[in-house]
Amino acid sequence: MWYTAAMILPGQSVLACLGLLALAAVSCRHAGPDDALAGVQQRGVLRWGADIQGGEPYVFEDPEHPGELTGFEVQIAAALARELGVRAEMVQNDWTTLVPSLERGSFDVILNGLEVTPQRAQRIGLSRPYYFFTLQLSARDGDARVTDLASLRGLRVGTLANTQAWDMLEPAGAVRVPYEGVEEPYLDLAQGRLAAVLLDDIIADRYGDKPGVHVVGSVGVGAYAAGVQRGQASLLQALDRAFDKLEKSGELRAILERWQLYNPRQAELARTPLAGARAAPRAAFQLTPHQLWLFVQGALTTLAISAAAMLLAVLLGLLLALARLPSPYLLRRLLAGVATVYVEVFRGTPVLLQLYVLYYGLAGLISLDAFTAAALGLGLNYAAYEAEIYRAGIQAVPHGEVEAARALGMSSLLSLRRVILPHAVRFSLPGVANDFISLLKDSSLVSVITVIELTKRMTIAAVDGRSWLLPGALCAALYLAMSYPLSLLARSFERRLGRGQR
Amino acid sequence: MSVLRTVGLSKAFGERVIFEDVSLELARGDALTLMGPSGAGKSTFLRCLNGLERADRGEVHVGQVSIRAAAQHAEFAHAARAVRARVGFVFQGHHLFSHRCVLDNVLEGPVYVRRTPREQALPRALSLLEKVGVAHRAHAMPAQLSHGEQQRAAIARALAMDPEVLLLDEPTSALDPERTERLSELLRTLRGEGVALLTVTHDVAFARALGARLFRLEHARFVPTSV
Repeated sequence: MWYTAAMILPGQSVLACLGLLALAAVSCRHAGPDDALAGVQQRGVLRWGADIQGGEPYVFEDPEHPGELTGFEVQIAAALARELGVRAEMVQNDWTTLVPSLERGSFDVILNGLEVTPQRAQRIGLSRPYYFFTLQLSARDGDARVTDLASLRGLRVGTLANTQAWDMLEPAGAVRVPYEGVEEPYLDLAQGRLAAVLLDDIIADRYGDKPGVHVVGSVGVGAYAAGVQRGQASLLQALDRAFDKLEKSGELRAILERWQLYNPRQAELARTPLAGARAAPRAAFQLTPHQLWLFVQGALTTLAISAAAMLLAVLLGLLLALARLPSPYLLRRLLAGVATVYVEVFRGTPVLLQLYVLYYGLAGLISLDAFTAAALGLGLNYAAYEAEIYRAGIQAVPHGEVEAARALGMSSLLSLRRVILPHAVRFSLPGVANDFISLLKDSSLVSVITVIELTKRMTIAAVDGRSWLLPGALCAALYLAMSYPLSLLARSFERRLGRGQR
Repeated sequence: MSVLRTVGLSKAFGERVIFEDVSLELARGDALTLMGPSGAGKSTFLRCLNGLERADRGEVHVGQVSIRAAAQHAEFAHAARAVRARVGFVFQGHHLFSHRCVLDNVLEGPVYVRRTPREQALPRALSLLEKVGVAHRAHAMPAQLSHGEQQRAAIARALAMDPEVLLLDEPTSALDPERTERLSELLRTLRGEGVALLTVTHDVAFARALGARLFRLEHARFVPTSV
């Protein structure tokens, strides 16, 4: 553990490097010579990593046999395993973190639309390509701004995070919007939340045919290859031999044809060098002022979303708590029932689901931009929790004082304003401040609806720069910098409450 | 001319009858003291008079306003509020608003119920605090006051609404004999100014000092007594 702790202290980075080197040396000696292929064959299983969320036709659940996987990569994996004399076993993993998971040994090989890029070639072993794709630029009908890569400067362009397209969009000056699924970017393009989408032709052909959306053209080419850990030459060579065999026998072509993926480009592009390979390889994660600024921007986004959501939660929560106060009137009792249902539904379902429904599910009814949807979704969810805190606060109000207010001739509304709420709010403040801290951290969930907040920024930087320690520590430091003052505030509220006035 | 009159007021908790068919009348400056063992329901009777609790049967008339036990909720609530504006209530536990200072407690009624501008209500509030003898604690929080001071501040709060009737629930329970003496002096002064008093107590000496008509609550009936 000592080297992990040392990494976080800037003054001790030399010590930390020594520690890591020592660790690397130990693990090398332990692993011995490259026995990756022997290991796979000994186990009799080729574990391959992929993300089902990538959807049809890569790897997805067979609609006719729920629970079973299908897709062209499922068939390729099966064929590769057969050539190696073992069986294939798919391991589900988030697409953006496939490479780090491969490196930590979660599976033997990546087989999931992994593009051949210089930085990947530097980091892991890549097999010979098994598919050549083009990058298709899509835009809304009648939007003349989008013509080619250069035209995207300043426009919001959606794609999958950490893909070749993602990397191409940065020098083009586009505002990159990261997605985790392939359907969502086209939905958002049709909704007007994006100006363009840049994705592989396989995806564009299948998911890009939304009404009012068309393909502008192809802006680049690339190839999918299988990836193995660095230094596992034996496994890589075996995979290359297997691919060669599958190509010569026509089985690869047959698989691609079965999924309507085969085109003349597959034969043609195999002989042309890849454009991407000429780009300069990217350095590992470095804490440049620009990188730091990106992190601070992420933190500010987190703070802005949390603050807006909390404001909504505090106000709506109060209304909910008031609606639930006991009353002899039928209409008020109905209202209380509605408020109770609201609280139970929003507390009883995951906030992640609520965000999806709000952003994608209701997109046809109300088209919210991602920031608004994020603040609204978190706010609506937390309102249910605040309502419960207020309810407890209202129950704690000294009953005698409420009676004294009534005995003075106050109406229910006036006694609420003058006596019940001042007490209830004071009782609720510590709980509300604590919830704000939780909200700050829960706000990382909004990355699923394309908001780049602090955690998403960290993930992007970490995957890009093949380091999780420094970005992770920076991310944690920024969260702490935001939550610690809140924590102090909550404690001072509690102290004031403890002192009491009675 | 009565300021408060009850007609056939009755209340039971399930099988247990608390009071039955109580009809009484209080004139201006009149004083009535209700005695009886603890748990007999004296406080419940007091609370029925200003609608903090609802009697089972009967009516309470204060001036032109009547609280009818049989009224619908909205009518009952409306009548109770109208009655409370003219009938002050001093709780046994005083129940001062703990989040406001003594002066603000006294101003609460005139400023927020009567909507008198604060500047206008201020001199009267200060003179009331003077009268009950806690003017020097005007800016203290209720928790910083002694029991006697809290009791007096609560009386000042009730008086700030210029009530025709003052209902007092066990006002001496937390007071020593000297403070009890000063309280009865204050209440006699109020009587002299025309305020009618209805006091629940089991302090015989205090009841006598008020010079009030005495009743005992026995077997759910009000029995005149002379102690």
